[in-house]
Amino acid sequence: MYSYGTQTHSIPSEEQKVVNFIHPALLKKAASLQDELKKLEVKISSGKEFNLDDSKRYSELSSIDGVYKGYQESKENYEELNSMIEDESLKQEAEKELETVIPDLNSAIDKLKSKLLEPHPFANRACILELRPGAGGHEADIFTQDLLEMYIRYCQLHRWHYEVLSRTDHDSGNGIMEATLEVSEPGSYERLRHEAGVHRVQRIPETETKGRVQTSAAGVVVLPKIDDDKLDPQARKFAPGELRIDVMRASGAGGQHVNKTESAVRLIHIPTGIIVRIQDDRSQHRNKERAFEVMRARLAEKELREKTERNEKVRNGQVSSVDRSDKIRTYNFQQNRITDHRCNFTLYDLEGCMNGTRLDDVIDKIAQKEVDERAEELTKELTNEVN
Amino acid sequence: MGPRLLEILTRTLPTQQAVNELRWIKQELPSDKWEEAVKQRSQQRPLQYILGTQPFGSLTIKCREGVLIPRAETEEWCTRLASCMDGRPHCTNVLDYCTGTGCIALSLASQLSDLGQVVGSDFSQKAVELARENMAFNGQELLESRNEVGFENCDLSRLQVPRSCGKFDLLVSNPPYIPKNDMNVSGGVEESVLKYEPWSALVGDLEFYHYLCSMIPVIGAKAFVFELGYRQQGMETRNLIPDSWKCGLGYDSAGHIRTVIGWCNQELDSLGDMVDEMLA
Ligand SMILES: C[S@@+](CC[C@H](N)C(=O)[O-])C[C@H]1O[C@@H](n2cnc3c(N)ncnc32)[C@H](O)[C@@H]1O
Repeated sequence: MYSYGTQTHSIPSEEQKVVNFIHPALLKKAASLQDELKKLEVKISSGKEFNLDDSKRYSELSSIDGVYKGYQESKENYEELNSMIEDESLKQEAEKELETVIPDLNSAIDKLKSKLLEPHPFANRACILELRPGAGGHEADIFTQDLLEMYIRYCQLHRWHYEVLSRTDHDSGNGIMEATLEVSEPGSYERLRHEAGVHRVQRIPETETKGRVQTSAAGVVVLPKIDDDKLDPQARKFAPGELRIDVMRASGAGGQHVNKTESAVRLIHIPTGIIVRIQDDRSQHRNKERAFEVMRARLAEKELREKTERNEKVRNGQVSSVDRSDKIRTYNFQQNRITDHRCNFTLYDLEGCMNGTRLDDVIDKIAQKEVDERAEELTKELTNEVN
Repeated sequence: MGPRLLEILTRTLPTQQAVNELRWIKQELPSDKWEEAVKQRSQQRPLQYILGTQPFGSLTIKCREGVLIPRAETEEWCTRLASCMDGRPHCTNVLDYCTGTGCIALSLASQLSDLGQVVGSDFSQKAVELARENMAFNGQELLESRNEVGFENCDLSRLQVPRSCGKFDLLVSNPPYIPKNDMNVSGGVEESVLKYEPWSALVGDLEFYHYLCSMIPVIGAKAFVFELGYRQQGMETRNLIPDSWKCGLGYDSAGHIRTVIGWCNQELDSLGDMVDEMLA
């Protein structure tokens, strides 16, 4: 599984002098979870009945507690050094040490914040990425191919197993009309879900003779991979008649009379009208398996999205304005930059991002932004409870 | 080179099919073979003979000239049959007459565990050899289901019974079923099939259903599934088996009559799931 905070990337030194903020309500929450853990430990040692829910809770709590302890240690360390600064004779040494201790503390704070949040329901899942060109004509097809290659390199760098389930090339051989990439690594969903949305490119197309910059776009959809596993509570069973499976048919008599090579499969989910079409493999059997996989993933994503919207409506009386057609990121070739609009982060290494090596820098930022926002929400909830 | 190869293929194939086939050629053959493969394909040589295989369910079946290429319609009813038989009593011996590449026998043997003996037979030595190769080629897939599989040279028209086993509960077959008069383009047979596939695997009619029905009592079969191409072949079969048997026709996903199915006792009623039209 993927866990946060394992990357080391350089933060500008200004940031290293300030300790990140964590609200006391969150620390109180962490402390109360620690108490809960202690009670469970007593229950274990007393030999009382320990059921499946208990053991699940136990492992959850121990993992939070580990992070909390790491934070406490880091915090003590910091406070000790901070008090040494008062003393002129120790000041210089303490300041030097703080240069490494503050970033450590900050990363411990970020980790603790994200640990206290409810994990994403699909956090441990593998994922499926669907890429489609948006506005911008052929240039958008070429950019879609660039994005596909970026994600493939990213998988290779992480040594994650991946497979292109479906891909339709542009007739010219340059650019793609659609692609579906499966990333089998458990937990890759948690990381790559931040890639969902519209990606915008600004550059002079290869096909442009007058050298004008053009803006085009590609859409990325990120779906959780749900295996057809009876033991998996998130796996779904289809009722008879819920799905229609169409296979390519030979025209005419069929059977011994004709030898067809078409193996395309089209799967239709009748209640929602979702259609999945896969034709890449020579085996109809494998195309069918893949179509089911994509269908399960699309339905899981749709259901989660609708549930989130419902909850939001109950809480706030309205659905927030995250529009799926909003652009999330711009790739500007002239200026060699990538700007993520959700967190206003700009990376001046377009090449590094497109070859997968620095995509994590961008994902880290947006993931952290989300953690901060959700931590703030949680703080509000916790302080409201008290009042 | 890509666009030119594609252009050659689109002269004889619909665009989407040409795109797919070119991709498969590139995936499965070394680049120095692409040119020749495309040339042969544009002369209607079957893709499966060029690439050497055809997927069949979860199996990969080796193909070569002289032996009929497995069809999707056969794959379809085989899968359907396997799911009908999932709850059957253990130890069902299966005979696949006219086995060709062995695809039906191997597919059933891989999908159903503890079948007992599965034997495929064909009068063509080439077919029996290829079927044995396919058994080895798909060894991994066959391992888990613990079935004894074998292939033998036998002639159906002489009602020869495989030596390895005399009694079979289930008889399956995809016999040659295209009447001689229909062996041409106006009879619905593709040019590629006419030019490249063995006629001895294709040309036949009611006589094969006579042979197969005569085999039933000889091997003690309690059920059968035969592929067919014409309604009359199914009606003939119905008339040749005892009235006490249940019998019906199955359609393929294109809506064509594709199988005739029969069984002699209630225990086998689950085979009714294969039937789309019962015959009185
Ligand atoms: C239509 S092919 C079926 C092959 C394979 N079962 C399949 O479904 O792809 C018919 C097969 O029957 C064999 N065959 C024809 N006449 C036969 C006979 N008299 N006895 C045994 N096999 C025969 C042919 O050699 C050929 O392999």
